[in-house]
Amino acid sequence: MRGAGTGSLILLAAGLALSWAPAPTRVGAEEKGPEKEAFDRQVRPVLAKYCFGCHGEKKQSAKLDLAPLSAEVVPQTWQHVWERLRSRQMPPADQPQPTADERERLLDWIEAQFAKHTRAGCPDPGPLRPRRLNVREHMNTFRDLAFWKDGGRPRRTSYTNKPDGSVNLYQSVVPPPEHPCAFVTRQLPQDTTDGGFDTVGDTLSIPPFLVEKYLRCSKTLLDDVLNAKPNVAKEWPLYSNVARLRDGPLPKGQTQRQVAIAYLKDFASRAFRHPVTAEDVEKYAKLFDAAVERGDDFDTAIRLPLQAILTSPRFVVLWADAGTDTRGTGAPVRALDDYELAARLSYFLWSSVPDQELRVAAQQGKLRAPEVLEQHARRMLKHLRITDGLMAGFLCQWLQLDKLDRATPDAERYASYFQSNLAELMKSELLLFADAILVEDRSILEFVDADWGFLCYPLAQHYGHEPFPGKKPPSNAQPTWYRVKFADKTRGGVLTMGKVLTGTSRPLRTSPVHRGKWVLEAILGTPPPPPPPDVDNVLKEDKEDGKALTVPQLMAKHRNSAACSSCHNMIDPLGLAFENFDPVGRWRDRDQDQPIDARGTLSDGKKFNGAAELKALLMARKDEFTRNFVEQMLTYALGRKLEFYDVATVKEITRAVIADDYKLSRVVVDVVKSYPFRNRRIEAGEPKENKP
Amino acid sequence: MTKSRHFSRRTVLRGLGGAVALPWLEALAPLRGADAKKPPVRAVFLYHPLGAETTAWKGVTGEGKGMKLTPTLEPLEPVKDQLLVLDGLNGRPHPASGHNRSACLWLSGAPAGKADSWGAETDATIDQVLAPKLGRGAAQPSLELSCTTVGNLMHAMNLSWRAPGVPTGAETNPRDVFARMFGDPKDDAKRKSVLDVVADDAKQLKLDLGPTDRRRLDEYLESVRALERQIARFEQDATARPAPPKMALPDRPPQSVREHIKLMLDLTVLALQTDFTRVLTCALGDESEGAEGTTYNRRLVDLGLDKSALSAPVDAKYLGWGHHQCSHDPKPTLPIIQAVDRWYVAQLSYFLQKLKAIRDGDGTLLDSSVVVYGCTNAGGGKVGGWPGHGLSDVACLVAGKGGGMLPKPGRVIEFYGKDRKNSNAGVPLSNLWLTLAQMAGVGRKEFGRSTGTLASLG
Repeated sequence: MRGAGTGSLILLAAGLALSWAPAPTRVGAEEKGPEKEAFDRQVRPVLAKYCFGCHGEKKQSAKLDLAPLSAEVVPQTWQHVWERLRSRQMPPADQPQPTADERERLLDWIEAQFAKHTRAGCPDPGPLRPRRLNVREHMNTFRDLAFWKDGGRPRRTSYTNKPDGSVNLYQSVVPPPEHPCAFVTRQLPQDTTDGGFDTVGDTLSIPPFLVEKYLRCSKTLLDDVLNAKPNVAKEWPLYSNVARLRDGPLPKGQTQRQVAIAYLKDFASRAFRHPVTAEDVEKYAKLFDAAVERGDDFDTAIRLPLQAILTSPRFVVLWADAGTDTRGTGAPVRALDDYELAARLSYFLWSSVPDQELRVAAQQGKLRAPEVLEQHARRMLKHLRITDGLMAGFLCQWLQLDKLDRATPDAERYASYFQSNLAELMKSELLLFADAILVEDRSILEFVDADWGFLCYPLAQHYGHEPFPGKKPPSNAQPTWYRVKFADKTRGGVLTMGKVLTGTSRPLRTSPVHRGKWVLEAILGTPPPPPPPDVDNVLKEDKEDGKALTVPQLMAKHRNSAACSSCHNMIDPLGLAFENFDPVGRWRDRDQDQPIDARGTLSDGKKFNGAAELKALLMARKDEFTRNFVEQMLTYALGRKLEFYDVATVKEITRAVIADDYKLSRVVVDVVKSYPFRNRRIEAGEPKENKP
Repeated sequence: MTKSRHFSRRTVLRGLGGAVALPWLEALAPLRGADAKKPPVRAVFLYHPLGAETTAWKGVTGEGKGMKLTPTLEPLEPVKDQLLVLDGLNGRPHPASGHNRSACLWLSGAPAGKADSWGAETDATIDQVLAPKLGRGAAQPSLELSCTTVGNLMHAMNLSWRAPGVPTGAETNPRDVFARMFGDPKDDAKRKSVLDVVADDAKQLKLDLGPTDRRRLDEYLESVRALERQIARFEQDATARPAPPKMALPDRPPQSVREHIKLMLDLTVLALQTDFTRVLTCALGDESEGAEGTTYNRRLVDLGLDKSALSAPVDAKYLGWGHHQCSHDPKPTLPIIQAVDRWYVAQLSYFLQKLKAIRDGDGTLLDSSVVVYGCTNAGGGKVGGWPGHGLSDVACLVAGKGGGMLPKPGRVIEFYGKDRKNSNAGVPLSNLWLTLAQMAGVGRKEFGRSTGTLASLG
């Protein structure tokens, strides 16, 4: 039971990248000799020195008392300490700080405690709970079952220039390619994510009206495909297959029904991501038979079993056919079988069903070999499907593009922003950049610090980028793009892209809080806790002595409040670094007739002036950025929040990425080869968990 | 297909456009069997987004036709004798984890111990508790609507929850709601045969799963059953099944707030009128953070208002602010907030007048309904400091007689504790939900944060 007393802990932990279940119960009353000795010698003194002052016997800030902690305490409790320490949120900046060595020692010790947690001797890969497809996956899966042929369609592996020096946008993310199944996003309810990735199963519940919508969606798909004109549709696999069944010629000695059933079997095996038996297909075939009996024509009759397959829980629910507790092995953990791996891989990278190559590999039982998995992951990264998969799914959600895209500057003051279509163009700039890192397999550090980027004429004008090779385009809707080099560190990297700077601003002024929060969340992976209760968390546009305050002055004022300062000391400096960029991302030297002050101090005491210096400081902590990137991608891939038992995996992948020049593909490949990706808990016979 | 009996498309049409009584409910009555004489009880929960400036709600005096309304509540003049103004109910102090988590708490009053895996307090809401009781016999036990176009924060857009962490979901597209209510009779037989197959799939899959992992398949099966019930109801009513009324419904949710809300309220009336459901929740907006240019950052101009709607002049720079932004800076923007509040109340009035104009048994549809209209408190700090979208000292209106459950509307009832200044001392809002549950015959002894029932309601 979660007692009322832990409520404030929940508050503190809410929004942390790693979740934890607050259950401050201790296991094992007696402390073992050497364990206790190590704890008393290495750990407790550090805690006593830096933590007990506020979280000890005398005082329990945030109702947290660390004094009774010991090596025997459950890992969830230590996870809280570990999180705060690692993110440098604790001890607070105005308190004495542990030395790098002390911090390291404490973190290492806690991580060693985490590693001791096993399931009957096996490391814990975490649960793989059944969940429904999210809307993106639904849409892509429809596309790959109905419209796109298997195989082929490799992507080019770099952005090249045309003879005139502009970027060749063939197969690019700009302009966004039209999705043949976009209707799905209109017919299914929007996924509610509460800020996380749309692959996290917890949020993907099935409301009572959903099955009706599933039926409607599958009907629309079949109508769109089967009612299409032959000259348009002959390349679509679903169309051509149904046409073949209807018009023949039939293979020798086979009836139309036999051929149809063979096709249904193949179709269902693909849709269900697992081979189905002839017996299984009979159930769907009966729908076909009944329709034929009623006198329906072939086209009408074949739609029913297809619709049933595309509505079945075997299709819409992932990981439901795993048979977790029927094998009777008694093992607490098991490796995913080949088909599960194929599906996990394809939903991770493509947000869609496995293609033929994956299915064949699964059928041959080869996928479980890590080198084969790696081969496939690398092949899939170079496939056109990656755009609607890892790009739209992981990269865009990680950068919070949706949220950034919603902010709108003031239409009067920033009229040129609207006239030049900058909202769209800034989005394109970000997408092109992220996509280039993906397809060219560049270093993920370039997200923070790069000396190159993509610009088009209206954006170059807006940013004041000179010299720019392009000319004024006839229309701002689809201008030509150029790959440019930046001479200094003012631009380059996502932090100083227009979309991020605008997306984290208020209509009429910048918002260092939002900018700082974005950096903490996306770049450092240490989101600040939500504001405390009963706080009016919007700044008043105050005046002092009749003069309007500048944004940094406003910030300083609210940091004077004790309730705000502990977190905002961490948030605001990061945001203030970008004060040289106005609410629409233009460079400025003055604001409200005063020179810009973009100086700040990080919580570790390092000083900087402006975005370029902040980037340099972030690059000095590049391994922290890398670890965050790994955590984010692992969360997306596993479809669950990370837990303390994932810490070792994150560390291992991070090390490998650092050793491989921070290459994006290394993150992907090592996530795929990681233990929790390839294994799952078995919960057979376990008492029902008291999770909501 | 059997031809509709004595409905003409025109009757329905007129019903939608103007306030013309429909014979529809009476025609459906025989289908209800023994209880034909007594109309079923309906419950509707409407949510006013982002809080109201509740001090402007206080000070309603008098009773029945003699009731004197405050300026914010003035649009309710034509239906004031149908109102219970509940003053001083207390949902809960400011939510701990960000202020977009009041909408999910409004109808459940879930105590802190009920935190779901996001740390928000959620639990089965009153509509879901009433639905099995009141909804029996209707095509659907409940219907959930939300007038939002961007809601993707589950705690901000969902009023109705089935269990902690499990929202019931909400329809945002009027066209989808319409399609659900009238279906396609030609398609029903096919849909039924497909449903049989997929339900069988779900049952088979369930056999292989442990208790925790079954949850999603249970949800799936429940969803299948919901549709089966709907189709069965359509079949049962085949002879009486009216032709769907003609409504101009855009493909996607309308961008215009006014149009969106009006369509949803019309559909709400229609859902009650056709007995599609008897329990409804409808959020008139979303509680998410206010980004400019989206429907939930509603500016005066989006609501069709201008300066003339303000009770006092405000600095011109605030006129372009959205409702949400204003609510965070209530001092200089108070007249705007009040104008927005008044606008929402006018939508309520529109809805109530429609219900009142529809005959149902011996009375009107409003007589057989309980309509609860509520919101968080975005007051200007007059009571209990800055409540910023908290649920303390909330504004709450109840309309209708609930089929006799609420025999004496047209009153103001105060629920302050001894300490009027202390907004947390008021009677828990959960007591209202418990009272409604007990009146409807649900055998609950407590609900959410309840401490008892509100005897003065009866």
